[in-house]
Parts: sequence; C-alpha cells; structure tokens
Amino acid sequence: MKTIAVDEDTWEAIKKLKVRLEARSYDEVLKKLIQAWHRVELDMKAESVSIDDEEAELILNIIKNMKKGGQGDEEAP
Amino acid sequence: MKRLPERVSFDPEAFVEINRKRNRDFLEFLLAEFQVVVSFFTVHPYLLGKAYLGKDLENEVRALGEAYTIVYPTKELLLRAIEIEARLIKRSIFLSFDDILIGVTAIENNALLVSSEPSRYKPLEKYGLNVMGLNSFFDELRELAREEAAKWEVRPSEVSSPERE
Repeated sequence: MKTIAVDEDTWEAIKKLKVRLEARSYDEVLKKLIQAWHRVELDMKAESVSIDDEEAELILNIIKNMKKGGQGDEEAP
Repeated sequence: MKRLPERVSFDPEAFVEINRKRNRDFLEFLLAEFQVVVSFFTVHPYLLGKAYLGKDLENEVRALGEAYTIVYPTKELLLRAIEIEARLIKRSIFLSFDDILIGVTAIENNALLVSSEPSRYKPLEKYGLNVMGLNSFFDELRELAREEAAKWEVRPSEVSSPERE
C-alpha cells in the first residue's frame, strides 16, 4: 500500500466522490477515476481514427491496386 | 500464450483492421496498454483513402498523431532500409521497398510488427524483426483484456472481442 498527499479541497472532493460513486475505499475511488479518464481520453482518440467498413474496404482496395500497379485503364477503387 | 512487448507496430492492412469501427473497444484497450509506433508508409494508404474521399488531411494527420506515434522516414532510416534491401537481393529475396521500410521502422523502434500476412516480412527476421500475425495478436490481446478486466473487477463480458473481415 502507498500513501499520497492531497490538499484539503481535493480531500473534500474525493470524500464526496466516494459517496456518489458508492466506492468501498479511496483506492476504489481512484480506480474509478482512472477508468473514467481512460474512457474519455481513449474514447476521443479512438473515435477520431475509427473508420467504417466502407472506408476500410476502400483503403484495402487502394492497397491492393497499389501493389498491382496500373496505367489508369482500370476502375478506380 | 506469448507476452507482448510494450511497443507494437502494424502493416497497412493490419492498421486498417485495427481502426475498423467494429474493433473500437479493442482499439481503446490497445491505446491504453501499448505504445503504437507506425511507419509513415503504414499510414500512407489510410491517408490516401481519406484524401480520395475529400477529407481534410491536416485534421486526419493530427488525429492519427494523437493516437499513434507516426515515424516519418529519416535519411538514416532510408539508408538502413537500402542496406537491408541489398542484403536481401544477394539472397535473391525481393521485397517491396515500402515493406522493407515498415519492417525497418519496427526494428529500429523495438516494436513488434503485426501483419495480416506475416510471411511477407519473414525475411526481415534475420535483421531483428519481430513479426506476428493479426489473428494471433487479436488472441493475445483478448487474453490480456480478460486479465485486465479481472484486475479492475470488470466482468470479462464487458470487453468485446475484436472482429475482422
């Protein structure tokens, strides 16, 4: 177990959060906060780079055609 | 079950699979647990697709850069790739220069290269490349996600399995 120092305002905020989150310990409060941060931060990152199936197939077709090469006679991807 | 290194990289086809919307939960887990280092030559077709669809490339590159570490080709990387290419040709092995650059980027960054066609990169193992098939990688990650879920007291059913075409 480790101890961390927090100021009075943070301590009051964490105590309130412990009740609101129905956490059994402060360790659980921190775990839930870390999970929430991961969700928000990672959700934003993943959302901005995620592609739907149509886009994915288009890119895979581009890769396939790049490997094959071509002179413009074939259909675009 | 193999343990995965901290850094992972992808080839273009595997990169597309990883970014599919249906693998979203899986991608979030990947971004949380690993440093994803990708060669510019891996993201090139992704960006080409976006450009083809008329998307703003500056925005797309910014979003990619926030999620991943993109490795742009330096003179040193290009020369190292040519050295390896020459050695491969002496062994009568002809790989595309893009594949060599993607492999060399993974080697130089101590990253595991994940590919949907790992046999394509096998000749580069002699030069230090660690390569894994996409399906095996999915299996490894699924197992890790289960372990993490147990650690955080989240039911494994909440961590969805990756899907691919």
